Amino acid sequence: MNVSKSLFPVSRGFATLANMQTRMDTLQQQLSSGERYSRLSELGSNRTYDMTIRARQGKLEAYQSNIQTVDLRLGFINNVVSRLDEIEADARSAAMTGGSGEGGTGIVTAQSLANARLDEVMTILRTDVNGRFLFGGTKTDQPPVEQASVLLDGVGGRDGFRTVSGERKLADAGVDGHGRVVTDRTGLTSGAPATDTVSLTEEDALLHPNRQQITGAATSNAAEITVTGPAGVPVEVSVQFGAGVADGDTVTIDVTQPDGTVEPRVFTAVTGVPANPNEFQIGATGDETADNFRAALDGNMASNTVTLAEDGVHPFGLKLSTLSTDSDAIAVTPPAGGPPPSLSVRFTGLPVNGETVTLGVTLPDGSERILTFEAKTDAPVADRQFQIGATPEETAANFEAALNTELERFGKTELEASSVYAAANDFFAGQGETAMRIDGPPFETATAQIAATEADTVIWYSGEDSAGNARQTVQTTVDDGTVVSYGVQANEVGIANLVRSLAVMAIESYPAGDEAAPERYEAMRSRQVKQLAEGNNNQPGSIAVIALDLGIAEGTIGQAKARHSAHSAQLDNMLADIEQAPIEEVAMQLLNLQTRLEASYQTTSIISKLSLVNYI
Amino acid sequence: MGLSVSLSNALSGMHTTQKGLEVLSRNVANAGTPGYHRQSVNIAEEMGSGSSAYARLASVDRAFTESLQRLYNQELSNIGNANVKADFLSRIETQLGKPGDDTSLNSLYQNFENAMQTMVTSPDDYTARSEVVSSAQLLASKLNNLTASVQGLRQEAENQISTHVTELNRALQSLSTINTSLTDQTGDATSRAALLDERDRLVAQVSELIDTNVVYRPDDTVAIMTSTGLGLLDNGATVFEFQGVGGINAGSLSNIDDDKNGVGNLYATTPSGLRLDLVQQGIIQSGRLGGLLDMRDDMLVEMQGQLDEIASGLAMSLSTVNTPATAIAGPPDGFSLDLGNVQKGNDFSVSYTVNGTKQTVRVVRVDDPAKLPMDTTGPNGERVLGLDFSGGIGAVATALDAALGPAISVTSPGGTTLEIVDDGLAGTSDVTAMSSRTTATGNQTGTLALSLFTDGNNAAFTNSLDGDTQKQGFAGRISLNSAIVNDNSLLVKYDSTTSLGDPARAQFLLNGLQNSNFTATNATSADRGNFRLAGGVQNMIAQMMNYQGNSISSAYSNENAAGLALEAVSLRTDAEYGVNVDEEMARLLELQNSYAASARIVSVVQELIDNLMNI
Repeated sequence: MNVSKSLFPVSRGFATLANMQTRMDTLQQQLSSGERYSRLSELGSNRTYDMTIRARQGKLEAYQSNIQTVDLRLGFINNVVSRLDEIEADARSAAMTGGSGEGGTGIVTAQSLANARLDEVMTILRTDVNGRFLFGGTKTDQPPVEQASVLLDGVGGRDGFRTVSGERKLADAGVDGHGRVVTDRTGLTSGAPATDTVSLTEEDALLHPNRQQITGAATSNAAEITVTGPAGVPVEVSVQFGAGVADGDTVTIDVTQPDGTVEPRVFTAVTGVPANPNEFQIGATGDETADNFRAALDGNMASNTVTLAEDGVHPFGLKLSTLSTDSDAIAVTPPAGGPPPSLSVRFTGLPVNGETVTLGVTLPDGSERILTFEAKTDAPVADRQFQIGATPEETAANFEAALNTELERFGKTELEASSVYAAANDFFAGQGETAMRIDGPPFETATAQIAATEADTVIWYSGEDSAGNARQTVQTTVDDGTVVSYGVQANEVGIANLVRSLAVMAIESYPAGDEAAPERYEAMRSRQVKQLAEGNNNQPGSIAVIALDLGIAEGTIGQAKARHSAHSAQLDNMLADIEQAPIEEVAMQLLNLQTRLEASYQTTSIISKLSLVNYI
Repeated sequence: MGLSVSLSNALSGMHTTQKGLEVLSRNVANAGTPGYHRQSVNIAEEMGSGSSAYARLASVDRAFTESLQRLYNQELSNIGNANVKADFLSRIETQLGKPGDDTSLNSLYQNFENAMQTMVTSPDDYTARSEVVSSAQLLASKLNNLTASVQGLRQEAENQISTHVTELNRALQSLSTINTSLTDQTGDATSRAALLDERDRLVAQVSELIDTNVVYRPDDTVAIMTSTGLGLLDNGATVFEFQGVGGINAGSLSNIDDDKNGVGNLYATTPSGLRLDLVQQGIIQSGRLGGLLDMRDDMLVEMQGQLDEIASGLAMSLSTVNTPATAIAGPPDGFSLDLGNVQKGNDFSVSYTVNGTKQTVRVVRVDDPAKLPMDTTGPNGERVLGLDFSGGIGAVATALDAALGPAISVTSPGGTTLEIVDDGLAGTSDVTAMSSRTTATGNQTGTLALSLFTDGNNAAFTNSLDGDTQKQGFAGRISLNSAIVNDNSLLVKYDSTTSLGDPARAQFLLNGLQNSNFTATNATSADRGNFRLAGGVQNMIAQMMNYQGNSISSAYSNENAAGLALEAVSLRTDAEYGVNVDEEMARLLELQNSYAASARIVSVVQELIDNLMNI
């Protein structure tokens, strides 16, 4: 209450002293705490300024803590990525310089080395920082990849890579191991059902599905030459010659090759000696003409054609791509038709020693190989050589045998190696892909792939699968408008390729007794070199590019950190200007006040004694 | 004649000196008594019989200057008012804290935002999530505590009003009695002076409590009015009456309508029987009562309003789902929006141009028939319509169609969809945008928004305008969603299959917190500048602290100023009415001498008479 009811209320003069005392207390508090203001109202017009600075400081604090967290994570990720790079380099150099080694030591150690490396890769991909897994994009609460042993051997009823690649090998090799292609030697058989009749018969349709077929027959002189057919099972055409065959009369037989091209074979009757194999001499009688015609036919239609065809439309086995020859005696039909496509090699004559037939095939993992078959006068001494026989048919038979032998050898080496690589591509699915396996059993005749499911297969990568740039999956704000992206997915191209090549080497074994082992090892090695080549480094998603992206992120963070510490120091200064009580100023004020207080006390005591009462 | 005259003169001198001593002694004794006015003797010369002229005590004067006294009363009112406000506001100041304190509202908010930022970086980290929950709880409790303080102060204001009313009544009654006594002009001068002192003390007491306009009549009686003209004391005293209510909370507000009034009523009954409600009529302008009423009905209510705005902004920034409408290709062109999720208080807005004039209409769901029809201007200048959704979207479409005019047509093709299209080929109107703002329901339904802050028992805060409006007092009820307190992974998992490392929800919540903008619907009164909070939550908190800090420092400086003014007046009154001991002592010397001289004269005269007798 301001209306005082107490005796001798404090006169205002003394009240001033009390105020000065309070002020002294305030100054002392300022001096000890260093703060100029102890209450909200005292801040005055500095209030908004103060709060703005504090808000900014708070934000900076948050960003700095973010930077710390991200720094830690980036450190871990970088460690892993550089180790992956090292492993890749090791594997690449081992593959390049290896070879079979002295006495095959290279082969023996290859598998165990690959196993060890695969184990290490899988383990480091499961790195976590405080329970946060770093290689699965934003799925950070569970390990992104399986352990190496689980991947290779499977677990709990779910198949591993060994099983899946085994199935693929069977699917690619086919029943006979030739790579899902079928060789056949066909031609058309001539016969003489009557003395003046020549017949031409196709091969058995069931035994030789890729055979030459007779699809038409005609003659220019229907009066003397009677053409019957093609008809019957097997399809047959017969030509009956009368006596009055004239010079220039033609018999045209349409032969459809296995690839579907229709070749009209025109046989012309001549009175004189035939100049080329398509002519036949007119004999005195129809029988003689028939014999001559038959001779001409045999020169052109006998089983002198070797066909090679894929056994179905499916992604497995060899895919025929090119066929050529440098011999005049050989007529080749490149792979076409179908589906499925087939090719044919027809020996129209005897090739010369050294002439070649070149076959190009595409393997299941996408690689291409060229097989060149050389004709030899003597017995073959090396792979892919066939002996020139006495007749084109014999040569064709020798060629077929050489082809079969080569397919068998090829199947156990290059084809098997590429099959395993193809299986690795399917099993270790990349970004945006699903793991696939073979639809079967039976696998040898499988024609389709099905997607692998969690229930039956070990899925190697279970982290986040984003289709675009994997870096963008994990982002952190380190400044207003500055975002650092540092997500890594283990199924990016570079890492996936490394895992594939290691897995493939880890499961392939090369037993001592296996003759094809060294060649197979060569096939595997050459593929590994290609997959781990430095040339892949400029692809987005390769290990080098990942390391580069992360380096950029680290640079951004470093700049933000420097910015923040400078800014934070500046803000601290500004805040101190507002809130800090400068010691010198406070001390001066205290001193000043002390003087005034002392003077006031002194005068008050003097005045209090000055009263007339004392002098009366 | 002669000696006897001298004797009687001397005796009269001694008598007056005695009287003088009496008054002097009374002055000195009361030198420290508050409210004592210095008395002085008036001595007059009087003709006696014959040639005697003797001194006579004419009167005892009491020092009193009317203009000074009126000034004093006025300053008392001012300081009473300023005192009350400074006192109440200083208690709020302690609660609000300084911007740098750990418990100040802006620090708690900053901690909350920082915890959110950390959670965005590491959503899978349990500690980061639990830090968000605990900082949110601290923030909510702070708002609750501030509300409790504000309402507690309002309750205390009521209590103090009640006490002061009792004092006021007592003072006025005493004054009335004194007035009656003072009309009796006969009686002892000294006792009259004491009555006058008491009168002035009581008038000062009344002035401190309520602003007064005092009339000092020549016969020393006093008439008191308030500065607005209500008579407090004339022939009788006005009786004040205060009817308090049981408890004050944020919903207790002053209202002209007696049914809706939630605060205590202050009545005054004049002697002639006129009964007035002082708050409704705005009669009290200053003094302690004025300050208390101002606190209870204005300043603290405004502060509560600001706290409610902050709380509502906090809740809505995290739980609002913005759904843009799907465009309809025409002609006629327009937009279509599903309104099934619009709850009470949620709204949707549509922007369109008619003949080149751009207009924006915001339709709020208001189901309370007492609030309808509602067609006002919102704080951002847009047109705000309140419509009842309980009758189905069809009814809404009809009402809106009527409100928007002929150029825009509104239909509901079925279910809860609303379509707004322009006039097609006529080309005079064009619907440019449409979107709705709804509150998220459920915690794991696939939407990123989350009701982290709820109203009381996990009820969602939808800013409903029904009844008392949900925003009123929300700062006292804001609390954390208990499902999230139990399982803080809900802060990350917006769907049951979401991975714990997915930052989508955390990022959405942080964006909402940092980027949502609000404009307050509560504004301060016109004489305090019609101030509204606006901006994001952090800005609103800073604005509130700044505004309140300003208010508080103004109150302190007002108190200082009033104190200085009162001090100046007091110094003056001390000089005018106070007892100066030195002066009294000087006078004492004089009186002593005068008495001695008179006594000497008496003894000399006695000697002379003796001499005469001895002749």
